[in-house]
Amino acid sequence: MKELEKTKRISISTVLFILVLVIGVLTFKQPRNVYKKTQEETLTAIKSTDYLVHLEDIVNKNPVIIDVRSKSEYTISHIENAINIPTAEILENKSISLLNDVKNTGETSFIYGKNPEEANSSWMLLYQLGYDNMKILNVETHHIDNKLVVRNYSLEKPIANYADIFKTIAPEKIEKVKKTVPKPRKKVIPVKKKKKRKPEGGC
Amino acid sequence: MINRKLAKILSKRYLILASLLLIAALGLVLLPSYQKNENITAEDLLAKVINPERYITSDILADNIITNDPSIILVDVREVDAYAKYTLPNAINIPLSDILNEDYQGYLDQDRYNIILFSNENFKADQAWLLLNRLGYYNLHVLKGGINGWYNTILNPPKPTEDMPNEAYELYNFRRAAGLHFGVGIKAKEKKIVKKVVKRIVPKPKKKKRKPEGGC
Repeated sequence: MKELEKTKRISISTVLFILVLVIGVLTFKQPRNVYKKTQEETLTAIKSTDYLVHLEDIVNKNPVIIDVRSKSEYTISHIENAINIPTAEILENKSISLLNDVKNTGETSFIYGKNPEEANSSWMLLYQLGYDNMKILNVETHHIDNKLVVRNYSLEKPIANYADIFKTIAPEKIEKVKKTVPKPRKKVIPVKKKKKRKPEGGC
Repeated sequence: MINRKLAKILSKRYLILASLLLIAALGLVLLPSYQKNENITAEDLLAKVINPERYITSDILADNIITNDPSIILVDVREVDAYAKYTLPNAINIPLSDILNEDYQGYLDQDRYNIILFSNENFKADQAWLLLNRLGYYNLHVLKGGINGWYNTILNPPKPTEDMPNEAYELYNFRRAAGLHFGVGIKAKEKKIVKKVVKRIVPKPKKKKRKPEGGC
């Protein structure tokens, strides 16, 4: 009788073990997007400026162009044949499958936004996820009369020699000065004048 | 009859269970290699990217510097020569190309200070921000507009026109005062002060000729 109980326990525990395994396999979930490039690889990619392309370089090539601005801006105007994927939606299934299609054809796609800075975050994110067939259009875009004006952009260019400003003359008098420390009043110590004495005579 | 069959199967139950276990174990081997995102998933990183909280405006930064906020570390991600020419007060230089260098991780991987990354614009600072965020670091910010923005707002603010509201004038005055704090126009002023200083001439008391004192 005792032996029978023992065997029962063994079989129950084995069944449980198998159950756990089956549940584990069924709930096994792969992360949808996995980084395929390490930080170091990304850094070397950033260091070379190959990923920045001017607009002239891609004319007549009929490339895939991705617009990362918001939908409303896209509807006002956009570069011809551009596809709109706002930065916030860049990892959604629809956009990922589209990017995969582009990658599988082996074509290079180009990202642009209001300026390269806007396109940069999506580009870096996608690059790290393994979409290394993408480049940034080094342009700034803005609307004039509902038409898109695209201009080449000089990135990270200092607007002036910063140190020069310190050589300029003093600014005009400031009427209201916030957060200035009140100056301590100067104490004026009056110096008493010594009275002239009459020369003392002799006796 | 049924009982007999059942008994037959039951007698082999250990074999069945053992083989099941074996199959499950083999199945584990055949599973695709587990892919894992270290530190931060792409979705979380995207959520951080969209969040405008990562930017700090130059006005707030100027206020923080002037009030000697001890919780900020300024990190200049430009190259060394640009850093040598001009940088924000008390900024440390970690060029973007060396940002993953182990020597600097002590500065960047911590949760006590707010780190403010800046370059000439947002571009390089944003890249550094993204790289460091992927490492799972905390409290990283980017100076909105970079030094160009700083120059346009604090060092050389545009004068408000007359049709602007009072707030614009207040902001302008604050920026002017902040610029003064950071040394805009100070040099020229000092010169003026030097001119103003009046030399103190200590008058030498002339000895008066005394009348010869007469004797008695």
